This record gives sequence, C-alpha cells and structure tokens, in this order.
Amino acid sequence: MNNLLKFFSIMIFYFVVFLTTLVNAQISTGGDASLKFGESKNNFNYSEVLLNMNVSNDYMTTWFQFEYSNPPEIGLIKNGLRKFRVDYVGDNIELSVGDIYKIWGRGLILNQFDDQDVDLDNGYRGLSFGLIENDYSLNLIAGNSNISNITSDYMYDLDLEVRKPNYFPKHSLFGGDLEFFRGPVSFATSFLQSRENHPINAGMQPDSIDVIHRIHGLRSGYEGNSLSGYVELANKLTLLPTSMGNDDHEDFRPYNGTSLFANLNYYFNMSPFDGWSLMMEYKNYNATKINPDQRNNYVNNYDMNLIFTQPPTVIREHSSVLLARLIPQVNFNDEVGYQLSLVGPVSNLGYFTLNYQAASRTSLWAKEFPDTVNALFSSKWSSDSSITYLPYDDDVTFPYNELYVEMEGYINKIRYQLGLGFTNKISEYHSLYSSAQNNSWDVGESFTDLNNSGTWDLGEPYDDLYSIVNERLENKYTNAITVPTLFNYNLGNGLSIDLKYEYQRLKSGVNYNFTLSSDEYFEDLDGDGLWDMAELFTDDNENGVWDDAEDTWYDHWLNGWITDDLLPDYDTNGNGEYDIGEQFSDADGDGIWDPAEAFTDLDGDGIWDDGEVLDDMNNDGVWTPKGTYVDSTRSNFYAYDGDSDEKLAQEFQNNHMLTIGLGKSPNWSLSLTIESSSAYEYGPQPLSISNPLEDLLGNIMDMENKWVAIDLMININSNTRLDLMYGTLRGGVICSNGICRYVEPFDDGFKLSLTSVF
Amino acid sequence: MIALISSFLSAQDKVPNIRLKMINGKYAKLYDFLKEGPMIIDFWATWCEPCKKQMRYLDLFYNHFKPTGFNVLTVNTDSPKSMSKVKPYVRTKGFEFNVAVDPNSQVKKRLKVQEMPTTIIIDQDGSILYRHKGYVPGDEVGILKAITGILDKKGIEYLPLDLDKVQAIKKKEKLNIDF
Repeated sequence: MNNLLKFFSIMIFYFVVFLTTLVNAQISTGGDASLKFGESKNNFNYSEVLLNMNVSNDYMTTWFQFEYSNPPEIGLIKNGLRKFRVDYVGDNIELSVGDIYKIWGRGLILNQFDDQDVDLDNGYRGLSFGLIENDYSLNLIAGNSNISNITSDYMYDLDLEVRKPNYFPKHSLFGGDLEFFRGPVSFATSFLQSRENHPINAGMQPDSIDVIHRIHGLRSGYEGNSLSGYVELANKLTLLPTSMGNDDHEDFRPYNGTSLFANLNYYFNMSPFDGWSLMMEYKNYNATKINPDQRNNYVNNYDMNLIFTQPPTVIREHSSVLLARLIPQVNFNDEVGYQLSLVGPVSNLGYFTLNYQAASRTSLWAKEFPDTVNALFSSKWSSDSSITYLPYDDDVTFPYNELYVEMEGYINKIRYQLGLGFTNKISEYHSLYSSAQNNSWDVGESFTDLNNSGTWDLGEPYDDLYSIVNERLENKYTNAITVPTLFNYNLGNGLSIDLKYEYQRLKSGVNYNFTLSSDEYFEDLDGDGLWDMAELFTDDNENGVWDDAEDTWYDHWLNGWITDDLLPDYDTNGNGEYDIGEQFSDADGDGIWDPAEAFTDLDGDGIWDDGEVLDDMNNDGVWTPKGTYVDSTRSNFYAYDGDSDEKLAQEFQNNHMLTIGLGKSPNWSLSLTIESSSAYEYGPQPLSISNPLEDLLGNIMDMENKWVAIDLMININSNTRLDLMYGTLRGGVICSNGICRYVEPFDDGFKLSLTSVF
Repeated sequence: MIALISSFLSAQDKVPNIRLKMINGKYAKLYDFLKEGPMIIDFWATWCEPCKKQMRYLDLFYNHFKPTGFNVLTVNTDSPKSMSKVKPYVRTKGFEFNVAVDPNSQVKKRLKVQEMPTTIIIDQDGSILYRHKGYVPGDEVGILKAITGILDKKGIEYLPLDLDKVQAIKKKEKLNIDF
C-alpha cells in the first residue's frame, strides 16, 4: 500500500513538472532544504535531511517533502517521500488533497501541526474543502491520521533513549466548521468525529480496540476599539465497543466532559495609562477525570482528549532558558487556570510587563479504603464531582503559579531586558500505602466461637486480616526565583554585542506525609501498655549494638568455671578482683580489656534494655499512634564534601547561564554559552567527558558541573544559513505546543545545521 | 528529470496567492497587499526576541514608505497557546502595519520560512526580490537598502530615510509622554 502511494505521489509530482514545462510562464517553482547532523561522545548521534519542493501558479500549489534520516534527532528513520499536498486556492473556494494541517478557532477541537522538536505530527492525509465568503466560511475535512508517540505506559517496543516512538494509534477523521462574521462579531460551530484504532496493553501480544470520539464546539469573538474578546466551548463524547475483548478493560467507563477557553483584552485609552493593555485568559478543560496515578496514561484511558485537540496552554512562553525549564506540562484533558498580563509603556524608559498565571487539575482526589478490615485490597481513588472555576492549591491537583515582571527598552544604543520570575509548582503526587495484621480482632474478621456466645471473646482464635493502613503521600515540589537579563549593544557598522545572563535559585525536592489509620503494633513485654524504646548507649566500637564488658577471670570464677584452687594463677596480685594485665576474653581481638558501653538506665534495673519489638509502619524508628502525621522533606540536590568526598544534601541549586555573543550584520554571529550549577541532582549522572573547549576554560575557572558550548552562525548568502555548535549541552525537558519531552544531554560533540531556500 | 531541471531553472520564484487570516479574524489573500506596490512580509512571534527587535524598524518603514504604495505585512506564528498576547503586543507598541496570524505555521511553510524572523520583499507580481533570515542589529540597514533599491528601480519617488535621525526624534517624542 505504501509503495503504491509513493508511486502515485511521484507520478503526480512528475505530472505537475510536465505541466510546468508546458505553461512555464505562469509557474513558480522553488524549495528549501535543511540538513541536521549531530555527533556526541554520549552517543546522541543523528543525521537528518529534509527537502521541500513546491510548484505553484496563481491558483495551484503542489508541495512534496522528502526526508532522509538515519537516525533522526527524534522519531522514526525515514528515507523517501514524507509528505505531499496539492492545494487549489480560488476566489472563494479552497481545495486540498494530501497531507493537511488545519486549525479551527483556538484549537479546542482541531489544531494540527508538524512539530519536529517534540516529534508530534497530528496532521491527516485526505481532503479539505473550504468556502470563504464575506460573511461566512465553511471548512469540511476527511481523511486518515497515523500518530506516533513515545510512552512508557505502552509496554511494547520501548526505546530506552526515548527518541524512537513506540505507540501508533490510527484515526479516521471527518468534520466540519462553519463560521459567520457580522461586523465586529464572529460566531462559529464545529463538529469532529474520529474512529480510532487504539493499541492497548494486552499481555504478551499487543492488541487494539476501536473507539469513537465525537467533539461538538461553539465559539465566538468580538473585536472592539478598546475591548476584544473570545470564547470557545467544546464537548467531547467517547464511545467504546460493547465488549472490550479483554477482562482488564471491561470496567472502563468513559468520562464525557466539556472544555472552555476565554480571552478578554482591554486596551486603555486614558491618561496616564494610554497605550497600556490588560490581557486575561481563562481555561477550564474538563474533558476527562483521571486520578493522579493515571493522569498522563493515554494508553489505558481511552477517553482522553484527542491528539487533534491542542488548545491554548494559558501559560506564558519564556525566551529565558531557565524559566522555560520550569513550565509545567499542560494537561489538555483536565486543567483549570488563568493568566493575567498587564503591559504598557513607562515614560521613555521602555515597556513594563506584569504577568501572573495559575493552574491546577479540575478535581480534588483522595485515596479511600472502603473496606477498613481488609484494606490492602480495597483502596481506590475518588474525586469530588463539583465543578471548579478557579485553580486549587491542594497538592493532589498539581498546583502551579508564576509571577513574572519585566522591563524592556532602549537606552541610547543599548537594548535591555530585565526580568524577575517567582515559580511554585507540584509536578508529581503519589499515594503509597501498606497494610499489616494488627494482632487484635476487628469487626468483620472471622473467628472460632468456642463458647457459642455469638460474639468474639478474648482468647478465641480469629483470622487477623491485614488492616493497618499506613498511607504515604509524596509530592515533588519546585520553588524558584529566576532573574533573566539581556543586553544588546550596537557598535555600529553592523557590529553588535549580546550579553545574556540568567540566574536561578531553585528549590526542589519531595515532601513526605504519613498517615496511620491504626496505632503501630508492639510487643508489650513488661505489660505496662506503653512501648519502651531501647535505652540510649554510647556505641564505642560503632557496631550498632550495646556491648557489655568483656569477660574477665572474675566472671568465669563467679560462674564456677574457675575453681578456688586455681585462683592464684588468675588473680596474680591476690586482691580478689580483675586488674589490668590479668586474663580476660578478648572478644574484639584488640589486646585491651573493654569495659561495658555506657547507657542511660531508664528503668534503674542496672542492665541495658533493648526496645520492645515494634511494627514500624512509617519507618521513623519510634512507636507512632493512630492519626499521627509525620512530615519530612528531601531535597533533590546534593554537593560533594571537599574533604571526605561524601554527598551532602543541599537545599538550593543556584544556576547561572551566561551567553556572550558578537554579531556582524548580515554575515555572521558567534556566541559562547556557559551554564553552571551549584549542586547535583539525585539520579543517574551522565558520564562527563571534557573537551578541548572545557580544557581551555579550565585554566581560568573550575569546570565542575558546567556546560560549555560555542555556536557559529554564518549567512552564506541571503538564502543559505549555516549553524555550527560545538561543546556540551545540559539535557532537560523541552516543551513545545504544550507538549514536553526529555532531551538527553549532549556531551562533547558538534551539531551542524544547514538551511537553504532555492 | 530533464523536465524537472528545466522547469526549476527557468521558472520564477513567486509567492503563491495564499489565503491569510488577519488579526481581526477576517480573511484576506496575499496579493491583496500588492495592489499598490511592493511589500515586505515578515514572520515573527511574541517569544522571539530578535523578531521583536526588528519590528520597530518594520513599522518605521511602513509609515515612511506608505505614500509610495509600499506595504508591510507581518505574519505572527504564535500557536494558540500564546495567540491572545499578539493583539495586546501590537496595540501596546503602537504598530500600524498589517498583521496576519498563522497559528499552525502553514503560511510559514508555504513561503519556505525556516527560521524566525524571516523578511521577504515581494514585487507587485508576486516575485521574491529579497529574503533575509534572522536579525542582528544592523540588518535594518540592509532591509532599507533593499526597499529603496526596488523603489529606485521602479522610478517611484520617496523621501529619504535616515535611521539614526529618526531614532533620535522618536526618543525625543517619547520624553514628552506624561506618566
């Protein structure tokens, strides 16, 4: 089938070229090419060529895209035709055949793009028809879409480098969008249906089910002089097959919800705020309700929003690298939030920006244990059914907020930009729990009724079920203060200097909360009803246990192992007690008699007492009663102690990023980027390989925990640009179009990028 | 193959008459902006710092060369996630040039734009006369030269524009703003 498609594509291409030669005067041809090549010592290697070719006249455009990659930076290896499309644009009619990307409104129903940075291509291959009149427009679409994703939730073909997709749902699409214009007001209605072939986890062999998604939408916009507004609403319905064909999935019930997006802009026209604007955005994406453990698992949750739904994130995009790293992954299925942005000129100093944004999931979730007796097998997540209009601040809802202020402008030939950002977020939430037998009879537990009383009586045997629940809540938090700055100085004659410095004080770690639903069980040896802890002692030999004095001849004589007639052989000075130099049992073999380790004799019995046996559910080392909460925090960061080389926990990580650039218009620009971090992050550390650039800089600074890269851009001519990078790049999460992916560090290598238009 | 090569060598590089969605939500076609003269088409985004540095010059060129029929169209490529900021940005900065939106980068791809900003000067017949990728301070001089070169070639009269002088005057005007 693929070969047939390729054959037809090439035939169409040659047919268009043939027509070109016949009517050459009306035809325009051209294209562009981009070449990307990267090689690093940590094996992040790629080679990718993309070639776009266009043939067009006043009404028709034909586009072909070829890819030659082995392997690409991210995605599947491809060699040959990747995309093609023929567009007809008439006075009022548009017709497209081939690989199509459409957007309706702000994308609550349909927003298609080909974003190679995160390897998301949610376009479709098919037909699109458009009718555009002065007061209305109509768009009808139909076709098929093969989406590729990387997810560890799908158990098959997972790529450890997280570069190669392993999950491929298929969609058969059709839909329509009708929009009306009346003066400053527009109004539209849309419908989209997808029949999805959804791969599922099904034991040893992959399987799939057919799911139908339907989305209906309404939207409206207003364009006034001092006010403009926009609102869009989308309702999603998911239909599953009557039998899922797999017992694990039979109980799944789709949630069908509604998503809302609104935007209001106000432009001030009165002094002293003339020229100022206030932008307000609001999102309430309530397409599904998925518990914190399953939130990002679109493999097992068939009702998650369609991949074609890519609505606004309602989160500011930052040009600051350090701030951009803190942007959370937006959940298009389940998120409520808003953004306020006030921007305006401040005298002749420049422009001031104040931006505040907050977001969270739409529901509060809690873990419940409906069966209090046999709690181990009965836990489940439950959420409130109420509709929220503003973001929560409860950790279970992944709250996020950011306050950002910025001033930018010109002072003579210097362009400046000074920012300050405060970010707080919870990015993960886990609820773990454990159960144990509580050594007491609970209502509901079976027992042997020896005296036929009908009730359990002391001494009667019973089935002690696992009923103590220790719920352990963990949340991953991040708090940061970031100061991005940028200075650009125009030296004249086309020369300019760029200085970009960013500082970030980052606090990140895990908060632990424990909840005990029953008292911790202990063996009450002395019958006092209280747990007795071990008596404190000085562990002289550091073996972790209390050690009594080493036995001497005196102890052996008291035990009768030495008879009185042999005493003179042991008690050499005849004083009746042990003296240094006399015989003893040298347990630790150090040749010296060791006395008993000192201890605090709590009960005054003269002997050291160990603690009573404890079932330490929360691992805090002491007995904890029911309902007690023990909070603790572990930072994500550590540094090495200079003397002992031991890991020392660090509360903060101070990050610095400095870029110094020199540019000559219009020919070239050169930049050096140095990033440094004061602390390491727990987790696997990439192998650090020093390169000549780092060796050179090592003469003037400590290169520990630093990443250095040099970048040269040359405009070979107005159509061709060459970009060369050499050095080391810090890995991390990159986000694009609300989708994030982790990028592996790039250690000691070079990247080449050549783009050309012809 | 011969047909392919001959067609590529002999055909002109023209922009297609694509349909654009303007910032006010209405539709327009690219050639509508070429009715009175050549034009600049520039691709930008609110998160693109070099783009923003260049935009004040584009607005200057638009206002200065407007009487000659020269037009400026900027195409914003912000995706829906930051689209709401486009209008306030343009209004706050007081830009008067035409603005279209391209939230899923389809116009950008049809005009073979790979990097941002990209500035293209188009003649009235749609043929591409000048193309420049990226922006470093000083690039505005090259763009101005390209504009005046085209107007000279067409014999269209215009007032000379001294970038340094205009900046000095603009700064003076700003000093008078009450706050």
